[in-house]
Amino acid sequence: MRALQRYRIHLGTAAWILHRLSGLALILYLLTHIWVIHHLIVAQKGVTDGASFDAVMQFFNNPLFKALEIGLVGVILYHLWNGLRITLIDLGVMVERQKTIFATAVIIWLVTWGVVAYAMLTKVGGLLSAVARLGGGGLS
Amino acid sequence: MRHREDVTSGGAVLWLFQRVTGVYLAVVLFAHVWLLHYLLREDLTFAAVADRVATPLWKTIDISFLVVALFHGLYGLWIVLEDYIHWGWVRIFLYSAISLVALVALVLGILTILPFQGGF
Repeated sequence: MRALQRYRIHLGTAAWILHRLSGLALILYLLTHIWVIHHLIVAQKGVTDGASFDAVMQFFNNPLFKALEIGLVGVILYHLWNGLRITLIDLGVMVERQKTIFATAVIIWLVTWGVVAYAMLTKVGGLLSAVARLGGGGLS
Repeated sequence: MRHREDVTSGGAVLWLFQRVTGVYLAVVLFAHVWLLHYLLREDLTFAAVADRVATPLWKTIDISFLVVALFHGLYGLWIVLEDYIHWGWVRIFLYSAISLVALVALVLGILTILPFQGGF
């Protein structure tokens, strides 16, 4: 249990518990996702125009599910960046600067979440052309 | 290296594997979200999915994605359960249940991905 003793600050412990909870949420989501997509695709067998699949996708295409999808991305990105943080600490990299790593992970998490959420809410080309404009390029 | 065996009972190899699969998932999951929620979005139709998944490259990517995600997620679940459950027979039951879930999800996923062929 030496691993636990390394987490002297409460924030680190909370982050570690949240890592497990987000992991549990993600595996439940993954299993549901596989189940739902499988039955959607199977229901499509022999229906050449993809009508039932498209109808379900249309059903999901509304602000409520968009918000849930963005929430899911937030959970994934939390698990991703916190996983990297835990790995660094396990490896003993910058152990004496745990608080710096923690703060950096939180900032990277929120920034990447914001960028992906923005991309998901704006239509194709919005983000890419914004980047191109920033770079002064005439790519649009 | 040896002290890591205290962290995950699977030992250093599985500890490393969980990290490597995590990095792989980060890359493929990013591509998955970028493609389906940014590039396709309202154009996420059965025809678009069928055209893409019919190609051998996407079949390979999607099946590897499925296998790696299931391993990472269910092995992670096992690590968590192992920390709290100490009775032998309950562990054996849970381990069997997780293995069964892994197998069922794997078969369902492969049956979803493999049949796609061009000209749907």
